Amino acid sequence: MKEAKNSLWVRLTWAFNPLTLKDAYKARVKNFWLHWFPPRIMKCSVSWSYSFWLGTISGVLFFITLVTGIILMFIYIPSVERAYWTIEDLEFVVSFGWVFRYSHRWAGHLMVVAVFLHMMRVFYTGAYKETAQTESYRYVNWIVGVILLLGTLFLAFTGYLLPWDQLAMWAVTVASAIGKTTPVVGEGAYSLLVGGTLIDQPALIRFYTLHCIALPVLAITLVAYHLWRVRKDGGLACVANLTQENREELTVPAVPIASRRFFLVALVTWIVVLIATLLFRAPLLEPADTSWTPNPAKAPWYFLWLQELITFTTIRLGDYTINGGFVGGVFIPGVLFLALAVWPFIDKSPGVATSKWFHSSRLWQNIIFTIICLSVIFLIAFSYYCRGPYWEVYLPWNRPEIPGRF
Amino acid sequence: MLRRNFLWLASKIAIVFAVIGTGFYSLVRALVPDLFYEPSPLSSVGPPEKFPEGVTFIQDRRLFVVREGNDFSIISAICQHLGCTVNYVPLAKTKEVKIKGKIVKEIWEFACPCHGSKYYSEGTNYAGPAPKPLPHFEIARSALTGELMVNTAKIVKSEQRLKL
Repeated sequence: MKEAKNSLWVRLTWAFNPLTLKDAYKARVKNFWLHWFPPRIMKCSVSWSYSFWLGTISGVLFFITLVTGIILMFIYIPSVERAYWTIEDLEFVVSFGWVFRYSHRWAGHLMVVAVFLHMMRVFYTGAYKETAQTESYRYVNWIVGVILLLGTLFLAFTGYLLPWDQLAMWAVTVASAIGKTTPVVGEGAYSLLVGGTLIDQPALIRFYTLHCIALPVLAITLVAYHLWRVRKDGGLACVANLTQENREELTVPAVPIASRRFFLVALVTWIVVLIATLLFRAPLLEPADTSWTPNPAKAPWYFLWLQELITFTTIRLGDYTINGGFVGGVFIPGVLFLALAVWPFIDKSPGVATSKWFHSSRLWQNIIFTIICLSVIFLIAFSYYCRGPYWEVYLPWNRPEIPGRF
Repeated sequence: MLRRNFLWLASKIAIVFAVIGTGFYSLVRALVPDLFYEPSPLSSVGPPEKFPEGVTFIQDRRLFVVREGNDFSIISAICQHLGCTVNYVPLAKTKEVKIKGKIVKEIWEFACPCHGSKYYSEGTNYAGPAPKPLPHFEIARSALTGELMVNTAKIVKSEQRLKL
């Protein structure tokens, strides 16, 4: 028994299965990787069914994109002549290149989904609201979260251009032209982002730098602050009447309960990404060509709801026309995101609604929020499956395929 | 005002200007392109004999050269909605449409694959989200080489034609 206790394996893993409470507390003091866990954690904070651990899942997916992204950076060359061919190399020449490319892509796409679901969870549980007992500023974390959602979308978008194939070229042409239609600042922002009047080498290097350095640094900083704030606000927004008497009953030692669950969530997330990698290829069309637009040209799926909106939001008042790109592509999403960011100040529901799934006092705002979320999801699905050549509507099973140029 | 307070205020203002000026402004300004490594707006599309009757697509400049007898015009191929390249669509049978009060016989039109905008043969938008017509560019014949020259920086009226 004594020998087993001293074996390297036991020494490395003792924190996951401490035999005494003292051992459990000691773990977070002695182990660097565990030191950011609190000594004890609310039972509801580690509950599976309260948070579904969506924040952790988003974080793990982000970590996977960082690691795979760094590996891709060793191979990829951000030049219009060579970018496409280095992606081909990753696909056909580099050993396991496809694993890293596909994992990076699927982790990125799943991150968009996970971050969106995380936001929905926080909204439905009213977790941006203050709890009576602790001095907390949870609305700050909500706003940081909204910025991180935008950051995730922008990271995904800037990554979309890098393969420099027809899919990338036209998705980015459409999406950046949407920004260009903003009055006053649109033209300036467009030339700042694209570095010219058309999508060419300056655009590629700008997107590359944003995707690989500027946005990840911003995201890492904000994620760190986001997590630190969770600790400062007293854990997840589910603090009951915590007193000296019921403390033992409502909390558990964070190590090993929370740490074990964290590693389990990380492992399952990684497995899901690997399965997606093995089952689904990442698309790569022919090299980018400005003179020929594929028919239909679709934006990345997480922007398809915007592409659908701009299709029917061009407003004509006599001779005066407002480009749908502005109404559906900038104004409507702008208002939605602004409303999202300031919602904690609009939401006047009582404190008891905090941390309760679908609390009755928040019925109406939950209904409005659900309608908006479902509309976005519906528009994405409709656009993805039903839009065919020349952006006309077809049933998904008899959508004609227009042959490519070759 | 005490000298101490004045100096403190002055240094605060100096810090703000230093951050905005050297930090923020120069950063943004450096990213605004001052020089475009892009094709010149003025270029040749080739000798007029090269173009058959109807529409010819010039791939690398993203524009259409339209020849009707000896009348030439050049229409942009960039959709006015969100910048996709529009397709030239020959019509199976002639259709008569009314453009700006005039009845015109159409044998082709332009259609955008991205969001379904449609344009008449001379560029007027009639369907889909496009907010304005495809622009016509200035076209001239070079006295030196006899080739057709286009200036994509200069938009002309859609009725204008180069007669040769």
